[in-house]
Amino acid sequence: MKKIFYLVFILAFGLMVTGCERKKADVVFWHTMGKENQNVLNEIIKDFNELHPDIKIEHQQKGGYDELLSAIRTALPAGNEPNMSFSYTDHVAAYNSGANIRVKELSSFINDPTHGFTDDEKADFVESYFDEGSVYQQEGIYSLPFSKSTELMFYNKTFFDKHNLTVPKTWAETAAVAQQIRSIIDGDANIKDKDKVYPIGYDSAANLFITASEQKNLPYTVIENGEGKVLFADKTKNDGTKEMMQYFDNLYTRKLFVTKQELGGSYTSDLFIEQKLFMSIGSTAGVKYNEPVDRNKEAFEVGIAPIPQFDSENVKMIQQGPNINMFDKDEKSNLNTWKFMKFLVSPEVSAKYAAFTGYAPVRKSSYQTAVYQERLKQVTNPVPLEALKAKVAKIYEEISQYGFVSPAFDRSSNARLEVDKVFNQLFTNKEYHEAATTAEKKLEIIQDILEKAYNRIVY
Amino acid sequence: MKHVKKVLFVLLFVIAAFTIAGCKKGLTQAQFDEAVKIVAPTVNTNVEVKGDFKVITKGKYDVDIKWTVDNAELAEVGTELDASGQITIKVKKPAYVEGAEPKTFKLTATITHGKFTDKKDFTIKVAYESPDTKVLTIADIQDPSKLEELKKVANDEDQVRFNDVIVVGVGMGHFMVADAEGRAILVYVYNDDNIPTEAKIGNKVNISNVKIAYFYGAFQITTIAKDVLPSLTIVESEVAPKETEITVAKLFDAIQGKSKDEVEALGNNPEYKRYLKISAITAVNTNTTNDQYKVKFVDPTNAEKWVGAAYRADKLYQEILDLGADVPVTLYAVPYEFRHNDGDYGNDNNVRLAVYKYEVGTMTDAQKAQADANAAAKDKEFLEAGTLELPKTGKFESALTYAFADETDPNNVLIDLETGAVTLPEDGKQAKVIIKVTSKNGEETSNKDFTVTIGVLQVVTIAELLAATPTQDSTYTVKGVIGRKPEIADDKNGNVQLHDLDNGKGLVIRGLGSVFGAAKTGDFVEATGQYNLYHGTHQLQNLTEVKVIESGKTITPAEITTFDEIKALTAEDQGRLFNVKVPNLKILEVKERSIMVGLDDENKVEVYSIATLVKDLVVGQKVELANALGSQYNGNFQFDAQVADVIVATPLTDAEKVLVIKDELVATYEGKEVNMDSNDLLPLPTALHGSTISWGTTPEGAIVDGKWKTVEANLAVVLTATIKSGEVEETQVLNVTIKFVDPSAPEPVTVTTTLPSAQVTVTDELNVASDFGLDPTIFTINILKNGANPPALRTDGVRLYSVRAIGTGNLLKIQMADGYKIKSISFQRDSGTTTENGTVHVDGTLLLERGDIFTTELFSDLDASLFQLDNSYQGGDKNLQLRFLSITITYVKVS
Repeated sequence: MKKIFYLVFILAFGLMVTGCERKKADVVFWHTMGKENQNVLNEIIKDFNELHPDIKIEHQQKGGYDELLSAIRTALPAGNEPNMSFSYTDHVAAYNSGANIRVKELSSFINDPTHGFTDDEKADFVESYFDEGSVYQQEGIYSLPFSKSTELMFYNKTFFDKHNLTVPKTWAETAAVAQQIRSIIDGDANIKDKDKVYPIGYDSAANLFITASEQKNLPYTVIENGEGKVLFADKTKNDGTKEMMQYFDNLYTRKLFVTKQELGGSYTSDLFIEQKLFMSIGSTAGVKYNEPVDRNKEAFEVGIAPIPQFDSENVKMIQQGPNINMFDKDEKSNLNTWKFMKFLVSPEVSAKYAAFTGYAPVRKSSYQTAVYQERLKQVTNPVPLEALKAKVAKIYEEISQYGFVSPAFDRSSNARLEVDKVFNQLFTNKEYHEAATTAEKKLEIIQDILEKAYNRIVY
Repeated sequence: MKHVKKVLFVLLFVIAAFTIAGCKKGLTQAQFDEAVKIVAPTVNTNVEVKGDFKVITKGKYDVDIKWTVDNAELAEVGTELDASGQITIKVKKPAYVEGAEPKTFKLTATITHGKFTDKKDFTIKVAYESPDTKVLTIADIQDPSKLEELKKVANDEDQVRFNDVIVVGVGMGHFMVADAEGRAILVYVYNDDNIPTEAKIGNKVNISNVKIAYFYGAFQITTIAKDVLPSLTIVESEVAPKETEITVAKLFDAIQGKSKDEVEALGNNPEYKRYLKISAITAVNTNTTNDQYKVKFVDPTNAEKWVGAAYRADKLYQEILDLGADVPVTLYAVPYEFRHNDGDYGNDNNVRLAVYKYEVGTMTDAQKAQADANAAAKDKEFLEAGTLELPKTGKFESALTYAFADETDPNNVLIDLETGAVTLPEDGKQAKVIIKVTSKNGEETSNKDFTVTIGVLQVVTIAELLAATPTQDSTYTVKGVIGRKPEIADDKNGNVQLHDLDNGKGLVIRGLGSVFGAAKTGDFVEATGQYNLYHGTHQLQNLTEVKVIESGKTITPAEITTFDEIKALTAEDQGRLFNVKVPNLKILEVKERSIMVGLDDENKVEVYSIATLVKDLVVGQKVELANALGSQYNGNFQFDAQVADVIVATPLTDAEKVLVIKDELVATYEGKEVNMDSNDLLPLPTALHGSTISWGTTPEGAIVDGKWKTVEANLAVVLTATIKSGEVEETQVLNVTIKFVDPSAPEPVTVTTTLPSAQVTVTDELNVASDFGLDPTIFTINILKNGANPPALRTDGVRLYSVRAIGTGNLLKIQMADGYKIKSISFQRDSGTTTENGTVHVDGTLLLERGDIFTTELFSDLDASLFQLDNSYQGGDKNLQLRFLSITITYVKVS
């Protein structure tokens, strides 16, 4: 009896002393990483815990970016949000909208003499990536760059070499090369369904609109006095935008150019690997979709080049890929989270993540690390996809200085969604393409397309 | 001591109570305030909301949150919580007023926890309906004169509104509405969770905050953005639209023989896209083993005319399937889709009906008994102990009784058939119990077995899975070694080969790249997914997990050394790996995406591959296969070599190469007749397979300027080919005849058929010569049904169907007018053809029996008045189609 009594007593006491719950993670990180990238993250966390064994990190994939946004928006008012998450700038703008600013402003950590970055470290960030942290309506820095990508032009080097074509740098050169390719297509009896073979394709019509606007200094969106504005439909300012849209319509009408929208949603890389399209502009995050051998298609050499520009003096390439942000909690949690965020963007870690995943490093010195140099050496790898990835890794260093990102505010993600449609709406507009349609009427049609896009953003 | 014990017990009780209570901590004011501070709607309150949104009902520290709105004209609070405990704030966008400030309503959260309570107000701005909003009717939608205008509305993504439409059905991810006249249109909302609660059958509603989309020839209503739901306002309840009676035969006839565009356009046709009342007889679609496409409805007066059921469109599908065949029904339905060449229901065009209500006609007792047995015999799964429902009476009042199918099965103890109580197996494993339900109606009885699976999922090998006759769509965890695995994007599905360790069985596992993660070839994994038999291929699809247990495993392929062993392989050997090293195994034929390998025509097997891997192979090469995957096509075994290095072909020696070339030259030239002054069979090849060929003719000068010389009578010519490959040089003598062609004789005329601009409805009697672009005074061309599916003369080609059971099919007859003779004829293949197999008679004499009709030389040197071709494909599990794009006919006028 006594023994049982003491046993029960000890158990009950033990329970009381140890508490009811097992130790929770110190930092919870929500993201969208697939399993392969999660394996890299696990290694990074292991390295982090060698330095900080007392900080337990837990990470969770919450689906795609839409699901992640939705999960966090639901979690915030219930106080269930993680300590940090992957985020696009639009996401952070959404979390900070309304009554509460829930994303932690990071300046105090960044500038902290003990835990922050030195001036050299700050200067080591790729500027345009770092600047993404402060594109919001609220002043301050709300995110750090993490997985960055951009767009590249993948071209069929075998085809270019065979026909002695020059890789274009500007849109004018691109149009000329595309015309040469069109002539080759039309004159080659072996090419069937010529109408379904294109010189150049652009995967994301939204990126095309935003990037072309940026390259030509045309109004797209802006934050003025803390207020986000959508400008592209403003007819007092958008003559250049309409001209730009007519430029691409002309290429499309001449069967030189196509976007994913005109392909019924198929990526231009799908046609590229089948040699039905010879220049494909798409995300560096999708490099594997542009390698034919890896996708069981007939082999050809894939070349890469920066995307075409309108103005060689104003080179612009869109920046993509998620950042990391912190949600404001108690002081200790925030510090633990900061330590992990800082570790993630350190040169070695950024290089390691980039080398494995194909994203760009966020630190300039990452390019000199052994792990990244090893990635660059893979350019001679006999596996074509590995060699292509190495080429992309190499070109990042050259082009990352030209990155830009559009402002993030309440309606910015809707603005992006809507401009994705406008080229297709113009390309397929029958009245616009009728011979009898006057130049003035054509501009009215484009204006109507842009205004309707604006209305869909607002209403 | 006794008191001490008492005190200790009290102390123990207090500690335990404190411990338990401590787990659910009480709330302090500060904590409550913290919870209140972060409560907010999940929308951006800085900008106008564009539609419904959700709010949470449980906050931090488990506080309760109740929501109210102050302006019912702009918003109301929903009544049902969703699965995550959120509730919808339903927003009604006001009509657009130019220049007006956004309207607002106050959304109030009342937060409570025990004694604490607080309120928090949010001002919500509501977007106006877009100034581009169009008020449309379903009559507009179905008005052909407005097609282009509405296509532009769809393309411009203008917002639209439909007033006074009646909900006639709710299906998966959609609901169907009709106007008072019964004209119907689909409202697509992506998934069931997005279906507004107002979308109840019989509700007359106004629908706004939507757009229209044009898909496959028909309009549908859909959301303006994926997360912005349609707004529905109920105008009236319990309303029914006008129903239009139509026969199955009329629906059937409306689509048969129509082109893809014509079929799809019916989806917008007011005569058919409406709320229909249809008398029909149930039938089972025997073209598929897939339960999703089993239901057909047959015309009561013409059993050859039928329509299919749209599995995803209605929720009554299973009930109707349970009715069984030959039951008279009255359907209240809307055609969900008009399918061109509907493979799931065979190869014909088909209407798929979404049935939202049905009435059963007079059923025999036997049918009632069968229907009740079908409904009761549904496989069940119990992961925990529970109660199996065993109703005593069926829907058609059959008496239902239950017994174990195998009375000796020791697992029977897990189910009490009296009470339905289910207990878990003691060994913690999974068990299956088969129960026989007996359904008695009048004097008729019907039995059907169903399986109750009890207990946790077991990890099984592929052989164990297949031996257990897996249930379609049931979840299994299968262990095996990953074989062939392509790179799969995280958000895309891909097929990966899984093998049993002993290579005894294999299957395809299909899932998202993110689920496969880093799993790679050689990993021993446990894959969890749903079993599916896909066109005879065993699959585990919709994978939820692929757990890597061990890496670096290799599968030892089965060694095959005789052709008899290949002959013994069946579709059951799919998924196994084989090394094929059969002496003298050669390439017999090289096709676009496959090769035929074997010893001779009687001993051959197809090796399916990709174009780039077979294009350089040569007939006659000896070949071995390494790690070839066993596969099956239409129930026949074949090897799969879609990756590099599986086909190991031995380069021909110089001597072999010369022999192969000699054979090819003999096949091409020996005994052939060529016309004088023509370039028939010219130029003579000077290189083949890396060898060179030089030529001589006897008499000399038989070829002049690239043409056969002009002769005054038929002239025998000996061609001498000298073939040189490396050090090997041989000659081949070939005899050809230059035919004298009488310059005064009528010129042969060569014509090639063209395709019609609209699909032609073919009947046995119809002369389709002019549809083919030919002169009907010279040609009489009939395409006879001949017991198969109706033949198709379409804008994109001609399709002749087979009757696989008997090896006959649609019959093409080309009859020449008196005084004309066919000299040669060839068919231009349509890449979509599923068979090349035809039987040809010329003037009633058999010329080709079940052979490849695209081998054009078979049909030269004719002198025929009547040419007949039928699709004589036989066997397999589908009626394969012989498709061609055109026919080239050379004919002469003989009198």
